[in-house]
Amino acid sequence: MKKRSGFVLVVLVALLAVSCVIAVSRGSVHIPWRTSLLILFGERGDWPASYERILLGVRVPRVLMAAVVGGSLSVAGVSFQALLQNPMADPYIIGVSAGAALGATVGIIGFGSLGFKLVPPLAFLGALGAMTTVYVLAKRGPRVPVVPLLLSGVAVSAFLSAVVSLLMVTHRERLDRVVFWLMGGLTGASWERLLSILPYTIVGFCIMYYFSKDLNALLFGEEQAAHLGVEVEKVKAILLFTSTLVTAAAVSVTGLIGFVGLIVPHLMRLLTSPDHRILLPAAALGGASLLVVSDMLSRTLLSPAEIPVGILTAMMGGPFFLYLLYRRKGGM
Amino acid sequence: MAQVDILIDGVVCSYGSHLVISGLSLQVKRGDFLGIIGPNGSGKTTLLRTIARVLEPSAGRVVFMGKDVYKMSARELARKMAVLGQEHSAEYDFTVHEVVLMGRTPHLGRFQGERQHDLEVAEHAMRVTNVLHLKDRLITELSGGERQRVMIARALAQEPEVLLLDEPTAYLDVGHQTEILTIIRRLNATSQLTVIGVFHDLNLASEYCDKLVLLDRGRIRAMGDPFSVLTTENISAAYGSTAVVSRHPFLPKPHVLVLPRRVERAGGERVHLVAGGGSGSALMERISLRGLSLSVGVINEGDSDWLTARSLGARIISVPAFAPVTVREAEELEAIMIGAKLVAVAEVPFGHGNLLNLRACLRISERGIPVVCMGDASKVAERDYTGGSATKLFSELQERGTRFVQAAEFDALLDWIVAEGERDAR
Repeated sequence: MKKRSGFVLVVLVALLAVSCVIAVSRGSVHIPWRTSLLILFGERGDWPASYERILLGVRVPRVLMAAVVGGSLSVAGVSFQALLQNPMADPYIIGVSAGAALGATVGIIGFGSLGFKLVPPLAFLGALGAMTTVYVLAKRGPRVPVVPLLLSGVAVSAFLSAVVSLLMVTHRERLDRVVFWLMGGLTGASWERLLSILPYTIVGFCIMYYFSKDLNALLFGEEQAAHLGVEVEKVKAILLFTSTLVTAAAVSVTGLIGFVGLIVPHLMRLLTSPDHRILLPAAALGGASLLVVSDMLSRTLLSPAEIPVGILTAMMGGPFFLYLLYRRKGGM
Repeated sequence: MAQVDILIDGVVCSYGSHLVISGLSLQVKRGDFLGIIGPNGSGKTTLLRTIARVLEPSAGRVVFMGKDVYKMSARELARKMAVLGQEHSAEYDFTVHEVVLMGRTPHLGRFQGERQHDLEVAEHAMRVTNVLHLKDRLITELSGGERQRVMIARALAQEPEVLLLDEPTAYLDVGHQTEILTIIRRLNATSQLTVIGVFHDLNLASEYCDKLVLLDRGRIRAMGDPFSVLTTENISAAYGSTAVVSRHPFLPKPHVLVLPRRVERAGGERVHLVAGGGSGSALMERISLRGLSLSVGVINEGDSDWLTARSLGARIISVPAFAPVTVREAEELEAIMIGAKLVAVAEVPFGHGNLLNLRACLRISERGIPVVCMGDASKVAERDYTGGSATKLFSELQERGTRFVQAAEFDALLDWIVAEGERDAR
């Protein structure tokens, strides 16, 4: 098992690298992948000068951002599923998505042209605010039990989503933009935005990895974990906030990209191991690849129109996930 | 000198305003195998969770090897105390080896991988619990018994000095129950592992524990060796059930038989049974189940029917074992029979010792008390060891209207008595 997991990690790294090279090459202007590689390695050649501008200025930040966001959502999903001991958990389950949506909607509707700059910070704050509210509502003395956490997550999400809907119907002139944001996508990608979320992803991943043995123990239930020496409430609080920050950062620049955070963790558990020391890096790599490929297809399939990437993640991830699930069942 | 491992000192626990444990103190010594028993809601599991540092008491302390458990870190405690719960749902595809290695978590640093020593400890734990051959199997593929053995292995991999058990065999069949508890008992005996366990099954507790604590509404009702705790009085007081406590057939331990709760009826109609040698046990149960009172006699003390009658709380007229029935008991018997709605004679062999019972039946049938005999009239001679006297008495009984009935008809008679009694009550 251990050896196979190591092999899978190597394959995932290779897959991500190949996906990235292909993704930066494809688009309205097709650049041969050899040329892309040469440009990336700083070579000079007799290709049009616009290639370098397109590649380094537009495609590379976009592809890297897809990778970072895909990885972020996936590791956050892994962490939420273990913390809440719930296979249906995703990064949005305790109010993050609804909070971010409200923040973004307020930015789009309330600030006109300034909105483009203000949407990410407002979405980020909205996500954090919603999650904090849920957390406070679920707190019972020193403990934060899982069921109240899930239930207040549902209630707060429902309330905030209703507010978003209300804003949408009262501001029809900006309906398109809100809907587009809600569906998520990487159109707003830039080096600046990439760099603004990268620290959250890196630090967040390190914190999660630091607690990977605790997450393993939590899969057997909170009391079991406590008996194995895990300070359950402390770990839960730290990881809930870490995972929320990672998710909020990703969502703030891309909108709500669904499915990645739910399916990639399961996919990687089936392919590697439930052991978080392997699962977390595997999910980061797998999630990154999935979103890089999905985003590439979203740009190219119906070019020049762009399909919202959430539609593609679901269309590709869903059947593949079912395939793995049934193959395993048949084998048992 | 025996060392005190765990000291529970005036512990009070409550859920909201509901007091679950009210001021409980207890000492557990190193190497003890202590069983916590008690009815539902008596606070057994709460007490165990309090010891396990899961549920902080609102007052009092739990001191483990000189340190307050709630001032220790989870990690520090997990290196010395392991907990084995009820059956675990295993939803994630860990291998058995991975699960057992998780028991090493409290001994390892955050980023530290398992060392050779950890692998050896895990392997030893798997060998002791007989799961080594399952090492590479997935925990999700195992049966309940196998999985529970893996969980013991994981607990042992923690190298604990104390093992807490929360009804670890609750969902297992009897074979696996004894297997799991035997493994734990052996560890307790061979490596001085202190064990504290919650048990629902009084006989498992009696069989495997050296000491028992009987909890009742958050307090200790009895504490000590199984014989002093598992008494009819204690069980009746804590559980509200009647129990017969006998000695385990092979072990120096008490064996508890909890009896069905009797349905007491207001009317108090009584059926008298002449029985012996086990011929009447089934009849007694049928009488008792209908809520009818029961009297039995005359019967020898120690007879299996005598035991049954005693356990059902019947009125009994008895003579010492092997002694014959004398005129004195026969008179007492007649007095009791006269108050009965029905007198039944089980298929008991008659010798000179108990022939007086049959005479008494004949006399009271003359006074209008209905008498029935179980079985076939034609087969009476087969159980007549009096040289014909019993057979003669049976035919005299028949002449006075006594009938021989089978089980179904007997039940119908009992039901009729119950119905009559209810009609009279109205």
